[in-house]
Amino acid sequence: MQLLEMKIDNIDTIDFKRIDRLRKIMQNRKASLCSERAKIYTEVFKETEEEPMILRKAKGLSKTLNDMSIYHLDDSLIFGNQASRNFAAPIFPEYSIKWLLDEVDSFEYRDGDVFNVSDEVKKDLREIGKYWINKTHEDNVNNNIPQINLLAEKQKVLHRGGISNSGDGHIVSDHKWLLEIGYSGMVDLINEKLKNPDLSDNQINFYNASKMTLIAGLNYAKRFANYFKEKAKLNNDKKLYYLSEIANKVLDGPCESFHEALQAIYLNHVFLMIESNGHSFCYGRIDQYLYPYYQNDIKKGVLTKAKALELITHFFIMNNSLNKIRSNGHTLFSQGYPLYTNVMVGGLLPSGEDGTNDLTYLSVEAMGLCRLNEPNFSMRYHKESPKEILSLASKLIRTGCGMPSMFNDATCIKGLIDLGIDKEDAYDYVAIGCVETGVQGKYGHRATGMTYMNWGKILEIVLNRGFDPNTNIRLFKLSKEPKSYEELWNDWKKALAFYSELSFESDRVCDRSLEIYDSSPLGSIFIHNSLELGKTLKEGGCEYDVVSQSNIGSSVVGNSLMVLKKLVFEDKKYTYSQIMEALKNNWQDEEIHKACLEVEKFGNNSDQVDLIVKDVFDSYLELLDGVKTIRYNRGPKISKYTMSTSNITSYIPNGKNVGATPDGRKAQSPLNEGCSPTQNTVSKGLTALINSVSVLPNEKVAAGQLLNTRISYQLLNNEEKIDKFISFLRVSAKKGIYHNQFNVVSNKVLKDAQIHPENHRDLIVRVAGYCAQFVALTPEAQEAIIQRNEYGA
Amino acid sequence: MKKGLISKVQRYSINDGPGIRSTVFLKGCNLNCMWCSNPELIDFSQSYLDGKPVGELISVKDVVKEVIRDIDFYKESLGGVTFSGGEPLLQSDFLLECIKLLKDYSIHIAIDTALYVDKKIIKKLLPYVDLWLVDLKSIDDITHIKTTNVSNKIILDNIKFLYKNNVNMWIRCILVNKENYDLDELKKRLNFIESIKKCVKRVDILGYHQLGVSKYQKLNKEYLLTNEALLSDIQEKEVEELIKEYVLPIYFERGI
Ligand code: SF4
Repeated sequence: MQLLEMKIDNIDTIDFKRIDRLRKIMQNRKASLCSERAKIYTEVFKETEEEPMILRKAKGLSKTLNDMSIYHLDDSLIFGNQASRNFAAPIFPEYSIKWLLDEVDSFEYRDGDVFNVSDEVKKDLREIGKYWINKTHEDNVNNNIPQINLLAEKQKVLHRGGISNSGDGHIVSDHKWLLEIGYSGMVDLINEKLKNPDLSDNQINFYNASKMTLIAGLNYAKRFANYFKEKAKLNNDKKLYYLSEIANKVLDGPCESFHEALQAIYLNHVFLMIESNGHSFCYGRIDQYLYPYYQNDIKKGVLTKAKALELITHFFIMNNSLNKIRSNGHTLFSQGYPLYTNVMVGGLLPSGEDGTNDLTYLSVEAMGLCRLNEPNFSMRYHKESPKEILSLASKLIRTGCGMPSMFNDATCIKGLIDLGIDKEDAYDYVAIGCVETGVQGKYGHRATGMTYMNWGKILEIVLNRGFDPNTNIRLFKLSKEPKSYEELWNDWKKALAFYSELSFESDRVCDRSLEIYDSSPLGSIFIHNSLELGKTLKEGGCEYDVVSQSNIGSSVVGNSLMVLKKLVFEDKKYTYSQIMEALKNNWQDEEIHKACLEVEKFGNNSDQVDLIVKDVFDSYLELLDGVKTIRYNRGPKISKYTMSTSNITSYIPNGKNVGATPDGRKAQSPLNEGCSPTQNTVSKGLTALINSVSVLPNEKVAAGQLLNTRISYQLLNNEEKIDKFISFLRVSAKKGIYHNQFNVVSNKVLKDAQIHPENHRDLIVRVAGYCAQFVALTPEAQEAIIQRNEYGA
Repeated sequence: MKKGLISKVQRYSINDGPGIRSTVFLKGCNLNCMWCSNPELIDFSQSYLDGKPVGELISVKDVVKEVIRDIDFYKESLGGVTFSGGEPLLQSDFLLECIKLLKDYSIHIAIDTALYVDKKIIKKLLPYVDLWLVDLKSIDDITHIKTTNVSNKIILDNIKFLYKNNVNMWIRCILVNKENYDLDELKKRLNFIESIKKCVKRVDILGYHQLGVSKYQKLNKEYLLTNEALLSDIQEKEVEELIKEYVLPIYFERGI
């Protein structure tokens, strides 16, 4: 194994073989289901039917942490398991169970994201399933979702995604605080709070629930301490004695070492993933809050750079042992078993200085050694970022693993400040999940991905004057044919406003239900101001409540409007109905198809169409003004909607539901991904792409503007080209690009991986805002990646 | 305003000079190199490749308008605009107008040329060009004629002329086994380059690559080279050894 670039003393003290063995375990991991949690929660819920939900959830988590089986991968320096086997997904029946029961026999036959389910687990599920009928979050949502929203879902305009049948996730604990006081310190703080005689029942319940889960967390660690000790005795194993000491100490009081710190944040992470089946539980700026522990250990002489690198690598690798199961439908939206566990390094500090330090470099190297799909590794950069760190990042990008995703401080920070986030907090932003940005320790759930809105479909409905051609459902009226571009544009705005209203209502229905079913006492407590206010995040316990939906197809819509504007209204080359006819028969008319394809497309730095795509963004942004979440005025400093194009793999299934579009796209083919251009419509090179994207209102897309760029390896194959690439990154930042992420793997390799998956288990690719093992994706997702525009030299 | 016959403007071009550049490909060439990887650019009129026209008459204004869009990238990376081809010097009036306009924006200009042109043309352009990317395909005239169809006399003479005028030059030497490659010949080429070294900022030695091959078929042109044109490992090693004997800033890129 080789480092990307760094020269580190005592490098041979790293046990590279051990790292390799751990990697192999994760590369060859097989997803399965584990019913332990489900059984324990069912038992607890049966016994506590009269109690408030938050206590029931706390008891469920506590009992699980106490009773679940624990195991340890021998080679790992980091311990903690989420379920009874490596990469087994626990089950969360309180969120939803119906789809699980319906689909359980098909999990192993899926095209992608396959899960093995033992007969025993199937039996367990059927057994407990009976209890949960009509008692889950999903049932609650279904009972409350308005009829008209269901029709919009039937039209495939709206998709409720994960939030209607699973937890929310998308939080970053205040890890600095967590390390400073530990779980036991938090218990003390809660005890203080409980002395206040004026607390409401709700607050008392919240405090007690949090306390219970914190104590259970401590106990879980102690279980490992015993486990290691017993095992150590057997063969007088020094490493196990050492791990036992860490396990005894971790989370119990202030953290005392770098190793303990990594262990603490990992355990906290695992617990949150047992408490809720949301995803995107993230680590935030590890290079910043771990630094004091690193520095202290180095000073004391108990840690070397090499040792730190090894520990971070183990910590990264272990994140691949965790898992989550999604329904078939939702899996298509987020393929490749993603957990979106974001780690962010580099960037400006709240003081305004650059925060790059030893750990920033070591983290990049550790990701180079880990090179698995988790964690989702991101880097912040700004105009003063040292060239050396950008060069190291480029070398990791060059390996093809798609990481780090590069976030531009200037744009991201400005976006947050404009939302009303305090300046110092905005400077401390992190990525939460894919590309959604928020403030660690202060954002409540869900920076992005509430309801998904298929803009391609909305366009199709506009073109068909309100009707969805697939279902023939019409929810609102439009006049006959538009006579001018302005009329067409107004129709678009009308339709977008109409569906957005519905989608906000879907969000609210889900949120109201999540407030009950996803009331996470442990997840909330280390996020400000839950402790202060005595309530969960979902009740308004967070300092900042910024949410966004996910909008899919901006480039398809913009390109299509451009085609109609030019060919129908300006040049009058074809009539509106001629184009409609061509769409209906999926471009059998080659001449019209050719003409439509030839009209300029977004991503080539041609102003007219770029500005139309910008208009499309603006048409949605205008609608967000004043839209409130259900937590408005209930605690958060701000409670707002913003926008995001972080739409994971949903552009593929969403495209499947949309007929041919005027941009020349054929029926059922994918929409565009994030804010990236459409497939095979760019020819002007990377700089043209950046110039186009810079036209968009990127800083207003403050929950993440996803730009996925595929470049050829030849752009990075020597130091000189890396220098040019760094200049490219710097100019992109100057131009206000929100972030950029890169795929470097050639089609030759990808195609070979399709034929010989067994030889390519180590192939990690950028899927969307996250990376995944290529061979775990469905054939369609694989194909969509192969089809992406590649920028060469 | 003048128009030029242009095949394309390639942006984020990183193999044609320093920094991030845009390369403007002008159509038409008076050489006919056996290994030419842009054979569709040799004709002086519009041709077709993959059913698409290659070469369009574009005005100076439009070229300038397109390339200045990336000015921020040039400035940050110390890049600029490169005119390549074909042989860009064969459309010198058009070229001159483009360059003059670009100079108003202080954009760094490079010209990628084989220099098989009348000295007058070079003279005209001299004051505006920041970097000359010169191809030196063989020092041996018979080989030169055999592989490119023209003698290298004028070319060498022009290089000397550039040298006298104290310009910045990057010199590129392609090596094609069985055709122009011979260790002794390379030595002579490098000795010649060394003799003008104060002007030579960089020498790129490029092993033959097969990237253009498929175009020949499509153009119905005969491709005379085979796999054997690739340097062998041993040859690559001897080139690497030879390079060490020179103080010139030589970069060797192996072929593929
Ligand atoms: S000089 Fe260049 S463009 Fe002209 S034939 Fe030779 S290689 Fe091709």
